Amino acid sequence: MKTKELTKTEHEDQVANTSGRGEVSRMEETRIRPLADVYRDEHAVRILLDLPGAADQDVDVSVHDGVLAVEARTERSPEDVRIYERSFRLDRRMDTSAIEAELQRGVLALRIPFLEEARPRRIEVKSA
Amino acid sequence: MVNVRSPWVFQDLVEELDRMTRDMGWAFGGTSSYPESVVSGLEIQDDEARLNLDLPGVQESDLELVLEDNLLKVVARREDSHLEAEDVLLRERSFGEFSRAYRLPWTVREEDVEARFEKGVLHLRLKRAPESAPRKIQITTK
Repeated sequence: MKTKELTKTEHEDQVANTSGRGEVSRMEETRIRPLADVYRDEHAVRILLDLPGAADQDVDVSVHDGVLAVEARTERSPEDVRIYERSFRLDRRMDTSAIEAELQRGVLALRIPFLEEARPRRIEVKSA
Repeated sequence: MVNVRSPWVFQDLVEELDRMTRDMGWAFGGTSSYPESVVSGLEIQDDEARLNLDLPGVQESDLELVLEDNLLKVVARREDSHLEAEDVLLRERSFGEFSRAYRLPWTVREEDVEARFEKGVLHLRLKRAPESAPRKIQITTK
């Protein structure tokens, strides 16, 4: 599984690749918007995505300009190629450099922690 | 000790870009919905049938297959992923029991069923039982 911070050029390349008319007409792929759960506690946001049939190497998780994008390409047979894609805009208080990703039984679990300074703090109150 | 919580605005935390993805999907001739094959997942031939069923997140121990002549029943249970300490921002994935029955046009050879559960997908291969040989009935005359 690849988790990376995209540079601007890489991102533009990706957009160019997916929006090229010729590129799409060649492919016999089904694009699927995977079902998702999003939970949060005081430390992190947890995103779960159903990606049945996906192996580690099929999944691509990237963050660019505060947008978390998940793409997975599964090829069950030459006639059954599925591309799962879904994006989420992340709050800027989230630490995108510390994203954890785990794929188990076709479910991708992402954990995105809040930045240290954005976490709730306990403040000691001293009496005079 | 005073517990100070930062004033989170929950809805602001995760904003989806799905609409954009969907619109792009339409623009390029794609689709945002599940293809037919995912829903049915059953391919029936003359003497063999294959079933591919998406059951992401299901544990093998929570999966049950029942076969009775030409009726196949799949029962699966998926755990609730939500932890008690968490707030729910979005919930689309269902949990609990899932059950689906498939009726085949012929009787299945029970001893020859192939079942594989991999990466959240159940793969089944069922073979047709040989027909019982035609039986001649003796007619007795008085």
